[in-house]
Amino acid sequence: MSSDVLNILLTGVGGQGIITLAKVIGRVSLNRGVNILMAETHGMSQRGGSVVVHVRLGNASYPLIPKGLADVILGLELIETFRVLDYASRDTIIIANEGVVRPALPNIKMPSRDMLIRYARDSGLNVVYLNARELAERAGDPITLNMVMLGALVASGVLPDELDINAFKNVIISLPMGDINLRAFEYGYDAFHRIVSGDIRSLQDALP
Amino acid sequence: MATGTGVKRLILLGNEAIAYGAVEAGLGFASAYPGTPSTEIIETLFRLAPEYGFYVEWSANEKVALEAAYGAAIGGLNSLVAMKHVGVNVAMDPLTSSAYTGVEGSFVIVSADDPGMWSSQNEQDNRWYGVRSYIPVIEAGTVAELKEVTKAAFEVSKRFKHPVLLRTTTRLSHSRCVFDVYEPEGIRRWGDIVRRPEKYSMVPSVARRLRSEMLRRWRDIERFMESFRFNWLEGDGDILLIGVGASYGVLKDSIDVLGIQGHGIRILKLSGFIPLPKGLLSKAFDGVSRVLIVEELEPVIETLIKAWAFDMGYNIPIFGKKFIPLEGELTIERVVSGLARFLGMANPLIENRVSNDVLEELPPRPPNLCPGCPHRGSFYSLRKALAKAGVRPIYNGDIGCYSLGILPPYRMQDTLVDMGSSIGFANGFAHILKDNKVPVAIIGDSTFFHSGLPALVNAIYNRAPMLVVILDNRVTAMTGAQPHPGSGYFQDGSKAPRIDLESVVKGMGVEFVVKFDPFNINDSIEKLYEAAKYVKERNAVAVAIAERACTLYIVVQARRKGIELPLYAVDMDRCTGCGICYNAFSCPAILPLDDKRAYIDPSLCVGCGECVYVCPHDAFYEVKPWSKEYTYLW
Repeated sequence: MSSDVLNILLTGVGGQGIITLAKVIGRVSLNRGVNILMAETHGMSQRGGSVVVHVRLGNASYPLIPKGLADVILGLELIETFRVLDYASRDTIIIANEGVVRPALPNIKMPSRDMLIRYARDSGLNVVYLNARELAERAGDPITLNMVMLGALVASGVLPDELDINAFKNVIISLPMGDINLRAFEYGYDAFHRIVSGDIRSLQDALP
Repeated sequence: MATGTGVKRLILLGNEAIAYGAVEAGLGFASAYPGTPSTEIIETLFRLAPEYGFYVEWSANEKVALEAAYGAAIGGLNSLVAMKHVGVNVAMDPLTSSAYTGVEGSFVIVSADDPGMWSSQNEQDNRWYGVRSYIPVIEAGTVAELKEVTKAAFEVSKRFKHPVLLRTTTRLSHSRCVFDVYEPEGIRRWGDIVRRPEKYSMVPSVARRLRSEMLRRWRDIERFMESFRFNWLEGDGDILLIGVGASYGVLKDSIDVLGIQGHGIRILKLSGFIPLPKGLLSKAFDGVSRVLIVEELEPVIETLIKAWAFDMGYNIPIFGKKFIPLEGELTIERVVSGLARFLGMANPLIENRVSNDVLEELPPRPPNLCPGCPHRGSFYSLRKALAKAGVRPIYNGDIGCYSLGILPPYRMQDTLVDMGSSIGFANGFAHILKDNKVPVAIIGDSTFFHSGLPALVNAIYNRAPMLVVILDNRVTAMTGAQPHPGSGYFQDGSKAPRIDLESVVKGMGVEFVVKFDPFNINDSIEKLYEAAKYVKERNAVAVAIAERACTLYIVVQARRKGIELPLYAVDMDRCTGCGICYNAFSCPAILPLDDKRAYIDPSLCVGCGECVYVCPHDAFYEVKPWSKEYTYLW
């Protein structure tokens, strides 16, 4: 791939605010003059289904990220994060909310969280898990889970230099409920640093 | 064009860019019936109309929309009609003849195709329609080009007074990137009609003459498209890769992945490809030894180029679908794979992958009826009512959110093909079924106005016994709650004439018409039971109309107005964990606990109260009642 493209895959469940999250990244890129191409892929337009947004920063012509070439996967829901592993390589940084949302289908078998986390570990994937719901609630509203995850993405340091933390803060504060969203973003940002530095025990380390 | 004044830099959705392009081209009239992935074009135009003064409408269906825009173009305006790919099928009759008559202003038909069938019943390739209708087809090569290519489509149409098909795809229409937006040079809102029946009244003698004129015009258009500014050659070498429409963007990124740019590769980008720019093709073919045509879906351009190359006497291998998939959306990895095989290279994407065996362990997550969606209550009650009436139903579904009734636990969409097919199919089944088997047609309000009307007229006239259930949720819900002729208001919320379903159906001559409220399960079962019994005993058409607004639409309004939603909860002492609410009724707001008892997620519950009827143990109770304001919204 032309090395000047950064591929970010956002995934989660309809209603979690992924499109809003993508729009914030878009707004920040526009403000800072970074080329961006984004595509939403979801079946039909209702709530509750899987939602994936492809974000390509830099000099891309086509909006869909090639499988195996995501630089970052930001997963707002754990099952959905694993559903897009086709896009990952061992070099991919995966930032995952550890929360699981049950699909609204009768009599389904849910995978266990431990199984998923063990699978990721055994496959040599590079995953950072966050309890984004708890952080969002602490920020004042569980609906700000998307901003917690965005904070973690910015903290991961993978974004181009122009997209710094202040560029994000300026856009987030202008959203409806800007103060709560900003707090959620900051909690996510701090949490990522504390998990990576070992300050918080990550889910993966807690596995038996 | 760029004047330098009033320029704004915006992030736009592809469909928004098409709308802005149309406005910059001096749009005077726009019409459409909503359909994914085309809908946002007209939604954007509705937002821009007050500022620029052009006319815009949601039409009752695509045929009417196309005729309206065609008429406006005959009246001298720059007009646009937008629809999804299958909508073009509905509009084919006037579309075909529009190439014969031409127009006085300009006429751009936007066809939003859906490769991969993200939200459609097929992935037909509407470029064929240009070939068989003598209508030029233009398609952007990248998202970033959409706005300027839209303007170019208007220019071509205006120059030749001929319709132009602007083709877009889900990927172009639903991607976002940065655009510079300019002020239009001038909008013409009012037209005039010079009466010219010899041009616009297609009786056979006129049509024969117009056909010759059209073919002459087509040759002029062919010459003009030779220098279409969105077609070009890049690089040089003895291998020619042709990127057709949006496939050009995929091709470019695939060449990047393979790292072969500048290595003996010549690229031909085609955005105006019907009619074929033959002169440019000759230049592209000059001195090359092999050709690969990269195009999504059908081998439209491959077929045309091969025929042209045969006539020209080229004796080189020309490939297309041998290396590029015929099915589904093109992606970079699919084109990289085809390109690597064509060039005899290794595919660098293969070793990069990680194992994905875990996929088998993951439950599917299809889109689902929303919490509190009235369709859920309608399906639940309908099934109970038919069982009670001793009727064995064939469920004929239709296009809309209620298509999701195909999912478990309902599985109540035995057939589902196209807009209006519910009643249409029932017209067939009604005359061939015996033994208490009854065709049931389930159709939404917007779909009923779109193409249920003639099918129901047919059923009444031909005495086809069937139960027609019209799910009236006041809007075209699936595409984002656009208003329709039964809504009673326009897109901007102002009051509109409202066509009353019950009066329409009664006026047609249906003798049994009943309305029910899907939130009241017991009453709904009773009314649907009466309707089913009527069909069974009288062998005639019965119509039942479910009246409840689209929940998503109401909840969005409530949130915007700061109205608190009602809420229900589970009495844990009464809940037995039978699972009827989350399995048989399957409300997404009701979730099972580890001990199988139910609980309601308060962030999802909208207070419809249907669970109260569904639970045999009276375990659900109201926590927060319906406020006056909330009741008013419904």
